[in-house]
Amino acid sequence: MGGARGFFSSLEFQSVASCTFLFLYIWPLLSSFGEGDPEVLYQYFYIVFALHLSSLLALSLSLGTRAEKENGADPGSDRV
Amino acid sequence: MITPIGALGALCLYMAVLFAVAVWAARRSKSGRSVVDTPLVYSLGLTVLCTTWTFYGSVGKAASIGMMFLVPYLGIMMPLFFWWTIVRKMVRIKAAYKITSIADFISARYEKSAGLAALVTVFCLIGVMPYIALQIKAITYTFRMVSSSATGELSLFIRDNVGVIITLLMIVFTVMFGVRSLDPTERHPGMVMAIAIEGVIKLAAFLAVGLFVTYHLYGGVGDIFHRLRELPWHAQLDLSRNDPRVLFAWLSNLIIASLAVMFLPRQFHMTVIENSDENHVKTAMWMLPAYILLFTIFTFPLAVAGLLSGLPVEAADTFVLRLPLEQGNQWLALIGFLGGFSAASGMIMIGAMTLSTMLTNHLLLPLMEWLTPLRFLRRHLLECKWAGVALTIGAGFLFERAVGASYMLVSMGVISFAAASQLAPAMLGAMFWRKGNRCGAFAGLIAGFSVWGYTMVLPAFCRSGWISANIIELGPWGIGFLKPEQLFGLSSFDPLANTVFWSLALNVFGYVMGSTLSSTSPEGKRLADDFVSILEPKQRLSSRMGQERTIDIGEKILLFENLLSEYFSPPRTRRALSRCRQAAGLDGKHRISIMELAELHNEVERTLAGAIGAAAARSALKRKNIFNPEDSGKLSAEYAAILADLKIAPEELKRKVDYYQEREALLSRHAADLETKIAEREEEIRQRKRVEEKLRQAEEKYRSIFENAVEGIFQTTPDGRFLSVNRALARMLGYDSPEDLMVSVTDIKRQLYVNPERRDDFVREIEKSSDISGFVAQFYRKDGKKMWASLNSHSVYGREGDILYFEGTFQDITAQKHAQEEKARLEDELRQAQKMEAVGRLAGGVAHDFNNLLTAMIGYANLLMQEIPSGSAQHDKLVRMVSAAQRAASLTQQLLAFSRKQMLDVRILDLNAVIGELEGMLRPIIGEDIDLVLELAPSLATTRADPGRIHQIILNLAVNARDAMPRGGTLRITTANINLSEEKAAELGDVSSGSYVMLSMRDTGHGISKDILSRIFEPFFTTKPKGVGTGLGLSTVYGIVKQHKGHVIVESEPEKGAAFHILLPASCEPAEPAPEASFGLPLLQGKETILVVEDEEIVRELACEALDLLGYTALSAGDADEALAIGKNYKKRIDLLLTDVVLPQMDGKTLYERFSRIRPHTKVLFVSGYTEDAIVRHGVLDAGVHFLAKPFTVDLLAAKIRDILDSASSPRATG
Repeated sequence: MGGARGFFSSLEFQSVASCTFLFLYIWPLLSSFGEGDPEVLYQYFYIVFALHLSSLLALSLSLGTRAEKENGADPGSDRV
Repeated sequence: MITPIGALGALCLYMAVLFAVAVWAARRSKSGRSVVDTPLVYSLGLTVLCTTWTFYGSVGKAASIGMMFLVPYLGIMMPLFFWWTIVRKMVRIKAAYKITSIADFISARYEKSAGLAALVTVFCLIGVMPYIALQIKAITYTFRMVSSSATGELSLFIRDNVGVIITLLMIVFTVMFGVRSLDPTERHPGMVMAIAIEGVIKLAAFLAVGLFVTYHLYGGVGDIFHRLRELPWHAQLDLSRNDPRVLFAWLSNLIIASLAVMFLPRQFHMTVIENSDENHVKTAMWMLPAYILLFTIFTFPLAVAGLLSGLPVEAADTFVLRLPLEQGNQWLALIGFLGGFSAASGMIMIGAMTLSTMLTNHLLLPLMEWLTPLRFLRRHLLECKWAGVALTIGAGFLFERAVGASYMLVSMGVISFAAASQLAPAMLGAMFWRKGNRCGAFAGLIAGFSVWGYTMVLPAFCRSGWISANIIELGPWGIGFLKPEQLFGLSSFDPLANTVFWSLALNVFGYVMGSTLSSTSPEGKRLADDFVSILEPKQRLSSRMGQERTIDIGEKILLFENLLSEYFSPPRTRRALSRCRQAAGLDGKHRISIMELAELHNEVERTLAGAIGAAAARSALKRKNIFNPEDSGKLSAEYAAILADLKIAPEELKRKVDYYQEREALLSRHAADLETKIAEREEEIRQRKRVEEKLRQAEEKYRSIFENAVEGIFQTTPDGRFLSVNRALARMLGYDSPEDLMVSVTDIKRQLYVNPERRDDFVREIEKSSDISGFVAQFYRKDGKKMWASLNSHSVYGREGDILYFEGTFQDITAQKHAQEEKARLEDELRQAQKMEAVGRLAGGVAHDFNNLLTAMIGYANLLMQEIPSGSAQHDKLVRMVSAAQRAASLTQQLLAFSRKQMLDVRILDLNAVIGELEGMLRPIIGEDIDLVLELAPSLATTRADPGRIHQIILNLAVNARDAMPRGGTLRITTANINLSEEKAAELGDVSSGSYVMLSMRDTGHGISKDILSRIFEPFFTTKPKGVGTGLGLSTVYGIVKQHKGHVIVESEPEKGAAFHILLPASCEPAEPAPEASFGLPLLQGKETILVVEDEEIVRELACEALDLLGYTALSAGDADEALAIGKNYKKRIDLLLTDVVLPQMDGKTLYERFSRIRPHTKVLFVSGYTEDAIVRHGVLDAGVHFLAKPFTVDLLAAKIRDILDSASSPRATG
């Protein structure tokens, strides 16, 4: 579990995920996917959107653990 | 239909409710029970991003370009992966530098450049104002849509002027929600709550419309898409895959959306400025896209549904309202309108607020500095911000009126997004590129905004008809290369892509080149390091601990106060300064070091920056010259010292330091320092132990001196308590131990001093002169006995000059004192003895000659009395003559008695008997007014005394008692046996211990005063009237008693009578009977021959004549030679040698010795008028020697001679 969190919170994952989703967002423009069918495109983008959201959720959760490890019991607290 | 009044009322009611919630949230936050500081509210606050562009415009765009409407939202999703790094950095920088806006952020990073801040402000104003215009246009347009059935004048007025009304309302709401206080860094929990609620409302409204349309009007999303396929033109909603313009447009939208979500001023404000906890960012990272997902999920179905409903695609921006209205669902339309209003108002309020802050801080304040007449506005910054809000929203309204008609809503949003993206290079470079500097920022921003303006704003103006559209088609001055939307001949890009590409490219180029080609100031480098490494663990370069605090903080505080008071009210200035001092850790300090001053300076700058921005704050502080030349020198030296300590070049200081290695090195150094310090501390401990040992030895030495001192040593408090005493003092005062003394004596004055006033004298003198020596006082010992002591002491003072205690020595001088008293007494006695010797000599001298004369007088008178018949007048006269002569003799005797030179006829006496004999004589003497009381001890011991002298004592004292009681009284004569102890004897002085018989005579007369008590025994001292007393009475008594080895004690007080106690040594022998009196018997006669040797002729003749008269044969000789001659030559027997003791050539004793050789059988009778002659000089009173004192009577002479002649051997001396 800790390994998975470390993976999500790594800069590598963030970079790769960003590039991946960027590619996924422009892929229909580069391919013939969903051609002539807005519904397919609609479903495709919202599925990717949902995946993207899930990745961010995973990253957010893993950041909590990482911050705790780095900073102790009060992760990244910097009230202003 | 909803009337305009109803719609406006709904708006106002909605805002009122919102305001109430905001106020409640603000109060909760102020009271420490915030409902705002939560990840949910923070995330919902970020949905201010979803404006009318999302609410209305996205549907319009979906209706025209299909799924491409989603691209901006996908773009928003892209940077969220990096938010934890980027946003967290911005939040920390904001906290560290009290950043108030994105312009402030950029200014703070790039050397706090006021120019840069102003530039960014202007760009933001230009970029955001169209967006505000978009919101106003949306509200105005939809307001008219939902309230189309206007009939009344008011309704018509509202409909016609809804833009103005909405603008005014938004100004009021913005001021009420967001600009109520001056310091934007004091977060706006009320506004954040309002924005969060608006986020919920607009989402709910949109979902309500979406659900209504999708599932009420149609059979769901699938049904909508199914029907879409029936439309012949549905393919236009498909993506044009073979058109690169679409791809570039797609990418451009992605880019500007991903940048705008962070760098739009309002987004920056909600994401960074209003962030209370950077952990909230993690929640926002997924909650914001989730919100967008929900928000956009019905966008495309709504667009398709609108088209399916036959609504024109040009009206697609209003499908959200038109579809419910078309179905007659006005309430849903109203809900949709409120949702759209929420989306617009949130943006307007936040946008206007941030812009007003930037306008005030970065344009107005520098202008105030530049234009002196405007400086009065410094004290009206809040009002200036209100004006900024009005200006921003008003400008947006005017912009909408001017150019709004030429655009669809979505185009305005893109303009703003593209403007915001121009801040990205400077912002990202600020946080991630140390070399980025002010010049680079200037160059990049100017380039980017210029291109943005040229390629995006200029075409907007052209399309609005303000400028010729030929510029778009042909380029300026017909130069096609400069066509705004196909800049530099880039015709394959759509206008947005063209703008994004060229603006960002030139922006980045300018930023990089400007930064690379220009130098950065040290301050700029420091700021760059701070910004880039803000997330790294900080190792503060704290000031060195040993630095001297030489700067008067009061002086600096005054400067700071003057500065802050230019912007804040006096109470607020004081609070701000107090916070700064507290933050810098300078509370309670009066003098500070240069580093502490620098820290305070930073705090003040941050605080001021919170109100007027970093650049203005820096400028204001510079103007005040907080650091004078000396301070600046010190600061430079201090930083140089720190850098020297770190052994690293300043410019490389942070970049090259590997923190962990440095930390390890520091730890090692610290450990070494600690070891050194431990060694030093151990050495200190050893030294301290050595010192303590020496101290202990010294303490022991002095304690030994203290404890074993012969003299008493003490410490006492001024109020009379012992603090410490030594054993000697305790011993002197009779206590078992020092503790016993200290516990027992709690009041030195009353418990120890015989005369407590002496303690007062002691304290007074020592307070006067701080030390005292030889202070003598008498003290009580524990057993009650008295002792004398001499004190040497001094005062010990406290820091405030008050006396803490006295300490000193205590010397027992009782023996010395007694010796002194004894000496004084002896000296007194010596003086008395000398006095008596003198008197004795005088008396003796007088007595010798005087008694010869008296002898003759009395003798011849006696002879005459023999011849004259008794009872005749002549006989009586002779008796008087003899009596007078005897009184004269008595006077001589008293003188001799006082000088203790008289002859005593001592015998064993019973004093009671003597007193008994005198009782009859005493009563007539003391008179009838005085009672005589005898209290005689029944078993009184005997004493050796001359009864005649005892008579004399009693008579003298009785006469004195009588004289002391002229009005009568009581004379009490008592006797007693007394056993005098040694102590009592010592106390009395000149008497030895032993058994005594005491004769006391106590009268009730006027007594004797104290001052004359010591003089009463002096001869010739008298208090009686002249002629009444001789002054010899008491001196005679004293002499007699002393001659008897006795003692006289006098007790007397004025008016309380006097008592004389005569102590005579007791004897254990029985009393001798008193000799029978021979007075009045016939003269004893004889026939023997008597040789009279007397140098005084008259006495010699008297003696011869008396001897002849008595029948004796009298031979006379005037001196010793003549007597010896007679002795040799006289033929007959000479029976008796009657000789004076004192003769001219030879004394009587020698004469007798020589005469005895001639006539061994001749007896001798010595006569003398002076006892001493007989006793001391001539020794005639040896045993068996007969002696007759002058003056003598004839009958006494006759009796003495007869006694001698009749005795068998030479008789003993009598007298």
